[in-house]
Amino acid sequence: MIRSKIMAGAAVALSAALLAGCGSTKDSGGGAKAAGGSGKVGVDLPLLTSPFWQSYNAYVPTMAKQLGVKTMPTVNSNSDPTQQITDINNLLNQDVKGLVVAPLDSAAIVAGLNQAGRKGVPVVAVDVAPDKGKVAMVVRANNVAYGEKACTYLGDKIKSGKVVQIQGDLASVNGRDRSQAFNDCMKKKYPQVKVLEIPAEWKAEKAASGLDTVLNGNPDVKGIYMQAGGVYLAPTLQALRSKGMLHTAGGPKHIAIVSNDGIPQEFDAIRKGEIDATVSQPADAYAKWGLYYIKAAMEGKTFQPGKTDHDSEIVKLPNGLLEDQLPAPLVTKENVDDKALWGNTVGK
Amino acid sequence: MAAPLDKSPPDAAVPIVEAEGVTKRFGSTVALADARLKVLPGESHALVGRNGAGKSTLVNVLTGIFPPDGGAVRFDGRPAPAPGDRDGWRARAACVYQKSTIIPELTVAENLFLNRQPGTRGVIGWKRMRREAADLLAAWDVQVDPAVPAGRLSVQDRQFVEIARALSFGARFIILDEPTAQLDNAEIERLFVRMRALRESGVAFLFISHHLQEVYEVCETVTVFRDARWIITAPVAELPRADLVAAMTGEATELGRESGRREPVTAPVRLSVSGLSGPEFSDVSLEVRRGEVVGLAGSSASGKIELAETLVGLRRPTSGTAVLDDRPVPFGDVRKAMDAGIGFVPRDRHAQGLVPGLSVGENATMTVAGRLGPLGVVKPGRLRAEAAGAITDLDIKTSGPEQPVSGLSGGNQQKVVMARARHRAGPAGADQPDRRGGREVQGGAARGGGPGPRGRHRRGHHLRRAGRPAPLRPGAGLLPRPDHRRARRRLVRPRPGRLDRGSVLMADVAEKAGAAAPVVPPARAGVLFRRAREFALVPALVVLVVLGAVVNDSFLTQRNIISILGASAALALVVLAESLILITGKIDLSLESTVGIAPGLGALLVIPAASAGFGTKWPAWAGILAIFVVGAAVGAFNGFLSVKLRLNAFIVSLAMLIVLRGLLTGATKGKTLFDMPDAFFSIATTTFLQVPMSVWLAVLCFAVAGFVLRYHRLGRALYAIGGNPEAARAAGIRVERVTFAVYVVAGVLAAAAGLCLTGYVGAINANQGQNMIFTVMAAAVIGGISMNGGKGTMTGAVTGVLLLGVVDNLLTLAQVASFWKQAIYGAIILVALVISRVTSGQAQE
Repeated sequence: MIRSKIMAGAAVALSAALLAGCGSTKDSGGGAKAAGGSGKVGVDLPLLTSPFWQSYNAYVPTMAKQLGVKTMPTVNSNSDPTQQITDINNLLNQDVKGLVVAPLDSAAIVAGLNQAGRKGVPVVAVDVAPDKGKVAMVVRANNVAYGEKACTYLGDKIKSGKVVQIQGDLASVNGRDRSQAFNDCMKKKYPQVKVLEIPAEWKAEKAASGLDTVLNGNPDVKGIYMQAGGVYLAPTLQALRSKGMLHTAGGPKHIAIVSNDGIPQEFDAIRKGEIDATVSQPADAYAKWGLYYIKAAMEGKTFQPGKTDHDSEIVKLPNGLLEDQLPAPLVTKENVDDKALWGNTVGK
Repeated sequence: MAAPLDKSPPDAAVPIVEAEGVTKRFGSTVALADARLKVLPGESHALVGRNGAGKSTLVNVLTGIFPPDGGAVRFDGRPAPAPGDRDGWRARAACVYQKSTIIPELTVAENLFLNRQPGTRGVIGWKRMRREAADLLAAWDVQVDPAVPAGRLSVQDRQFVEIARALSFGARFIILDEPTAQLDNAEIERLFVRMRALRESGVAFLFISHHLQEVYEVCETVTVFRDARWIITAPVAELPRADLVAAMTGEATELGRESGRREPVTAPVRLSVSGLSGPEFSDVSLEVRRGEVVGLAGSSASGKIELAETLVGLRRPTSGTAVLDDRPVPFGDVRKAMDAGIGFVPRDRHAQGLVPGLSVGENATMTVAGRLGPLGVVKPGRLRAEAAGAITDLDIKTSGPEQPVSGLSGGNQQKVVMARARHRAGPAGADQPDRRGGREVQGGAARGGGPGPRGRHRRGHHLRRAGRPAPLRPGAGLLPRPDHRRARRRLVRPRPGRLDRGSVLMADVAEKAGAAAPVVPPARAGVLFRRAREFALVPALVVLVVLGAVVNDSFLTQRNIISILGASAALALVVLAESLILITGKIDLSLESTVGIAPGLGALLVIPAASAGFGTKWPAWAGILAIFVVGAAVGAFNGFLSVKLRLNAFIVSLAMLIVLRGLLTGATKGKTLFDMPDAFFSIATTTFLQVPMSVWLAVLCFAVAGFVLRYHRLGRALYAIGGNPEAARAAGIRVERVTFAVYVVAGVLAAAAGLCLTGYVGAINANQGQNMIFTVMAAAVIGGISMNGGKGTMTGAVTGVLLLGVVDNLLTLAQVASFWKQAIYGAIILVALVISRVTSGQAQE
């Protein structure tokens, strides 16, 4: 808490400096309308400490080039929702004509959206749909779908018994959606399966000690769902190894494991048979469609609900916003070597 | 606000304050036995007695701070207010202490009306307050501007403001606790004039002073206390000075005769100072012969204190030399000065003398910790014996060496400070290898009790006085003293001039021979008390374990216990590191980042570039070595910032926390590092007796740290530094060096914790260790480590870590609803703290 406050303070100071620096050029820009669909796009990242967002960050300039969008260097809000608002203000003060933001918090982002709205700058939200405020499009793979996919895969595999769910931070939308979807689906479709929970807050050591403990009390666990392979893969394997419970797929003692993220290390583990599957979050598609929609919004284009030309569907959310729900493929031993998967296109 | 003055003299027969048969005990120490005092309105009443006579205790009883155990206190013939009735006490008696109670940052007016400012509903009426303050000050003829910050006032004006404040509460009985101690002669005269004026208005004074001359000058009646007892009350006119001294000491003393042993003038010179100059004094030359007591006289600005502090190693002179027994005095190093045979009794026992949290024994032996056992180990028995010797020799009134020094009366605390100067005789050695034969330098005016004084004020009170006064003027050197023999003559009858009190140099002054052999008391309840505090969390832990066994079958299995230990190893090491730093009185928040960056950099040096490594491809062992080097380097850098540059430890470590976290994110580009060789994980994956090596490492580190903290002088030095760094420095502890070393050790421990965590989770995330510091602080503090420094034990820290580990394990096993886990986790810790409070009867810091 203290740390984030300090960081926010630093950011405020920085933004003040930027404001002062930009004061002279501010009015001479001519405004968004005059630019007519061109102008720079600001891209804000929620954090950079997960492989997923690192890949997304790497895809942004590539995709921007393909789509002919000019972007500012990406800005990292470092897991701090307060700083994210400051970052958005900074970008707006630099006269960006469009914003692609991955909100850290569905509610706390509203202030930032309103700022952009006042300046007439369109925003595309990536990964998290804002509760309120105006955005041109929400681009996300459905976190509820992640949870359901993992549930179905594990449920079909083990039918009954105990599974462990290593949860993310329950105060985050993604963590909440995945947990909720997984639990609901298990209850509905596989009532014979009992779900044990480890609230690990996206922390490796919490996952390790939690799994260690749960396995002490429940040596008969048959399956594990980890909500973030980027953080939980290593501690999960380490805990199983230390307990002598890491057996490769196909063997009778193997514990079925489904992960979430689609990073190269997970693919390796699938190839080795240590884990069974992972939900590949489309980092490339996030970057591509985020930039696509912001370009369209700057040009004044609008969209309607319905199927799209890229295996997805635009839906209207209860709050009236449009959301393009991108597919998130389940990666198993069968398709792990698919070149189209982003995890196979980046280095470790 | 000033109460209207009643000019008509009140009924003189009714004493304004009367104490009868008052007794007060602290544990087994009798602080007051049958104390009596009667002060009439308008009277100026002196209270005299040597240190430890019970004066301070009586003052505290008269001002309602200590309720007496027996006897009665009456004001104006009526019983004293109830113990908690602060307003009632304030309206009857007030004490102006030596230590000012004025808040320097606030204005005089605010000080006068603190917490009772005029105004409406808490909104201060500034104008009105200033006006009322001006009225009040004018009513008592105190010429001070109420609008200036009180810190700008002179010591004397502050005293007057305090007196005015006391009077404004309605009190007409004012205790002045050594009011002249910090005043020069002109100011003392002013004070006396003021006292006489106030007495005419019916204000009575209880005047406490060590300077008998002042008693005769300003007081009408004198009461003498000795050894916690009332001895005599008499009009000063009827009590000649010799009788007064006899009453104070209990032995007839012929005034004017020196009682200390004096060597003939032919005695060899031991200390020879020539041309010594520093910022505060210049070109000082003097000699001290064996057995001689030399006083340094001068006002506090004369440089006498700085000269004394230079000789004991606290300061470095700019030029000049000092030779002790043919060897140069090692300037700027207290430890070496002590080794050379120079002892030091600081001027201010609070600032430089005592470590309040430590026991009498530890304070008294702080300067000799190095010879209480082999290799710096402090043997408890030796410490007790040494301390008992000091207690017997100096007649310290205490329940035993284990008593916390803060529980002693002021006079007895001063004796403990004296005891510290009784370290070994220098290498040159005294004639008698008696431990009292050391050499002592006393800086400034001590409150007495010991060897001391010089000049007229102290005469009579201190029985061994400066043999030879050496006046020191501001900026000037020692006055020339061409005729040594004339100076000698003054030994017999000191010059009756007006010298202010000063410092004293003594050489080989032996106490009276044939002191009783010290009685070594056995370890007492104090130890048990301390132990109880250390193990305060154990009952709570037991309750939790029993609860756990009931709630879940798997909880008490060997496997699960090993899980708890394995999960706690890394945390334990960081808690250990933080505890060492907290005990030393510092804080390091950046340890959590060290937990990440140390193994992170180590790994980056080893893993291939394809896995985000630096591409240096170091062998695994070199990478692991690098982890510890990084830890030590980070610790050293933190130590440098906090110790050498004297930056605030909290802020610096907060900045470092962010810097180091950012460095790791930058170096890894945020990536999680997976591809380390197995050696990086082996500390957590290899086991001995089925327990991971990381746990054994933590156990070993705690055992070593626990031993060092309790039984080694280095460890005791940490407590001394944390409790009072100035006192530690004056006792010869190398404060900066030790603190720096603690930072380095903490850095290495945090790096080790990082390695354990890496092995435990099988990877290094860019945010490894993030937010860990909160858990670390929680474990340390609930384990009894004080955030204020100087307190805590390793046993406590271990129980803190285990408590958190057990609670977390239990909640996971019990599958408490995920959304509520944090809340329940916190609630259980609160309950555990309550249990420990109830069972040990000790408040957690």
